[in-house]
Amino acid sequence: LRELGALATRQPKVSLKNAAAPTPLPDPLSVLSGFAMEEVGRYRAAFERSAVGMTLFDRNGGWLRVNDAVCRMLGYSREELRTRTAADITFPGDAVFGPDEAARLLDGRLSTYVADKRYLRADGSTLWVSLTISLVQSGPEVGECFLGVIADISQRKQAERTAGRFQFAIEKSTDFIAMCDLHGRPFFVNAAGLRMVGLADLAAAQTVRVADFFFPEDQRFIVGDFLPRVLREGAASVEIRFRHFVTGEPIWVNYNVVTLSEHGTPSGFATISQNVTERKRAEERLRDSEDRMRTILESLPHLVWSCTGDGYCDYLSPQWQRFTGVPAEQHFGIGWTNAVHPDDRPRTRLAWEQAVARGSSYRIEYRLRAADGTYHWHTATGIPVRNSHGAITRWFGANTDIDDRIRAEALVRESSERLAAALSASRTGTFRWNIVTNELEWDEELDRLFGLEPGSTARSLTQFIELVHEDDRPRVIAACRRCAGQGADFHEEFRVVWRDGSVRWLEDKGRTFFGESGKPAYMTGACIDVTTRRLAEEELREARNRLQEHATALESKVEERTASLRKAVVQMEEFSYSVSHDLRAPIRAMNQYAKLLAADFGPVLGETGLHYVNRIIRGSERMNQLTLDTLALSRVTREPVCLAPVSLDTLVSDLVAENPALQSPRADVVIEYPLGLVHGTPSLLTQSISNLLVNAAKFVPAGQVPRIRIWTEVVENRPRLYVRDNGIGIPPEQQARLFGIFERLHDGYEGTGIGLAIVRKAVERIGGAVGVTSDGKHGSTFWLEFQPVTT
Amino acid sequence: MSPHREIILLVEDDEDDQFFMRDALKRADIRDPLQVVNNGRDAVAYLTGDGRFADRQAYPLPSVVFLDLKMPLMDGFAVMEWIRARREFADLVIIVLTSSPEERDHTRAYQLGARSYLLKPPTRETLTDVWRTLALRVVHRRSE
Repeated sequence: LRELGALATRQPKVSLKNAAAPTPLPDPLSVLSGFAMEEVGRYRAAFERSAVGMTLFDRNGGWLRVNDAVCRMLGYSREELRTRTAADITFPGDAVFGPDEAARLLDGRLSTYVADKRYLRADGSTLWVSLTISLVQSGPEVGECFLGVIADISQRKQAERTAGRFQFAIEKSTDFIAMCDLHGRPFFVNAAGLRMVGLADLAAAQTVRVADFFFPEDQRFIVGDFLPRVLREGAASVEIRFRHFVTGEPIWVNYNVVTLSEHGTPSGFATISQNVTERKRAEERLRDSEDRMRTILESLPHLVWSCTGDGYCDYLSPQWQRFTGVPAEQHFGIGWTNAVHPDDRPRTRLAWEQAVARGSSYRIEYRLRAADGTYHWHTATGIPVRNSHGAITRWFGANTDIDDRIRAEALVRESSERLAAALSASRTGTFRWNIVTNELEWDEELDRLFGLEPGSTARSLTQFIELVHEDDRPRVIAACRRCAGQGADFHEEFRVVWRDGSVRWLEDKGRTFFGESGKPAYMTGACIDVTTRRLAEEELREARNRLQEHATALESKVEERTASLRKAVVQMEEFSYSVSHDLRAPIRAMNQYAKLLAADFGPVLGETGLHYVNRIIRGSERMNQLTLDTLALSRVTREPVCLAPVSLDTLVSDLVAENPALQSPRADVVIEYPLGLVHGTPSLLTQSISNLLVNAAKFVPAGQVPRIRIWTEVVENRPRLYVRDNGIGIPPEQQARLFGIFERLHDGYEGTGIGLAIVRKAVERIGGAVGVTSDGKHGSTFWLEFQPVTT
Repeated sequence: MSPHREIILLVEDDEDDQFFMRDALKRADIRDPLQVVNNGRDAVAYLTGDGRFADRQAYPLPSVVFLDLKMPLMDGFAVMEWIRARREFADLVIIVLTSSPEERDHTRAYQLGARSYLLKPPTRETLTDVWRTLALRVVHRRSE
């Protein structure tokens, strides 16, 4: 390149003109010119020995004399040359020194004849020479002659040829080839270069600087960084953009720059830069396309992966990383199989190895562990990409999460299996009735229910109706009409008669579905055998009827007995009434007559007689009292109970006031008000309390005034009425017998032994109780416990 | 003792009780005429003047009836119901004389228009009391 640059700067030219470029050779003719012939003689030796080829031509261009150098150059001897003219050994078409040229030299039109030409050498080869011919002053000895100096310029010509070829190459090159000086001023830009950057011609190029070829953002790099490096290192290259001078478009070039030097000193820069814009664009397009592809890949729901031709995974899309939660690097190579479910891992590895080995496409389903540790079913698909030789260069693949699908499939499978199992196990037949066409689809289970051979399926509604027991047929037909007409659901129980004559009960339920027109379109339903249930129901109904009969019978029996019981009670009451009346009538009569006897016939009877009469009177009174007490007890037992709040204050004070035995000074009664309210029935309360009061006043030692204290306390939420006396008391061992009927514990006191039995009965009937505390010496305390008044 | 005269009808099936009533009246010095029938049906016949009772000279209409409750053929309550239904006996004084201390008999008797309810045997004291009130009734009526 340096040579090329050097050649280019010299711009070598072959010129026949006088003002030709300087030649490197000395001009012997000018040395000889003007010398006398004798002087020529002195120079002959020089002539002969000169390393430069020297000849003397006659005016016709014939060889007069040649030195050895010429002979050496041309390969001819002197004799051979003397017989040949210049034209004889000149390359055809090249310049020949002949009479015309000689004439011009002679008349002075031409001072020196100069020509670069080719001689044909003796061996047939050509030799480039530079021929310079000058007129030598004619003299007697030599006559007119011309001195020619022949310089071998074959080397120069070779160089010139080479340079020309370079020049040609440079001009024809599609690369940008240019040179500039150290200041960045271009002095050469080839045609392609000019075209490339939109410069009109070299003159235009010479008006700009190197930096102007670049985009502003790159200029500082070029001037301040890149070119200094070229100077420093002699050469450098960079891929950079030129800017088109007209359109401003970027032109990517591989910018190769070398330093030009002259005599070892840098003089400028030269460049051959290839336009790589297309390649760049292709690269960009590729990159764009790759980017797009990557964007597409990474926006897919699939987990995309890629492997080298030998199956080494070296790309896993972000989706993969997101799904597995594992950095891609850990899954490179064969590491991804670690995320495969252990149960699926061996066959997955095997499948992948086989696919890689065979170069066949790869497809497998396995469970892949998600970031949360759960496994999802995936379909993995991979295809090999082959180069032009058919060798696999890459694998591309994608995983699809099919977990939902697998689950859904499993669910559907399970649920249909379950349904089938359930239908079969429960012997449920199913059907689908196309209401529009009346077609009926029905399964084998339904055949069995209808007593048909499986597969002999009824195909129309009519066939179905014919299988129904004729008594149930109108009802079933009506139900079908309701379904078809109004879209009602179907729910009927009906009988079918099997071929063997047996009758089965079936329960048939169907749901009507509507078409787009809103009209009933079809019905699906199920059917089961309910014969057993119907029989059971019948039995149940019978059992219920029997039970009802029993209940009715029982009820009437109860009524009967209640009536007879009521009758018995009435009779009992009648009996009591009779007792009170009829039984007492004779006693009273006896008593009354005895009294009359004592009053009217006392003196007649005498003392003993009176004593007997008095015994009759007392006996009859006791009998009367016993009868009355018994009646009272029976009355207490029969008395209707109607519980209501009753004031003890009023009741007790009235009882005390009405009883003469409780009045002062016969008795000392203290009531500690208030006694409060109790829940009770006044008559029963009266019966119980009055008897206690009478007893309290009665059982006192003779001559002692009874002191009675009455008060209430609440014991365990229940009111208690206490009646304390100063009487004879009741020994503890006798207290248990105290409330029995006819129990009389004390002699010497009037009593029937019924009073406390009445007390207990009366208080129990209103939900209360009676009790006593006594040491048997110092009086006793009776208490009555009542139900509290609930608010 | 009384300045006015009552005609007394005793309805009593028991002869002893008839005797005790007569004895008690005597002891109470009540001299008003006493008619006695043995049961309710006879009492009704007496009041309506049926049969032998048609002779009002012998069987004058009573102003006071002493009525036993428990009697054969027709009891005291039936008699009171019968009397109650007849306006002409509105002023007739009915005094129940019974051995029943039963509350229900007591209540029913008053409901049927009994003026008094006396437990057997009748005594001089009770009869004297009754006659005193009967006399007040007569005074009262005269003043009207």
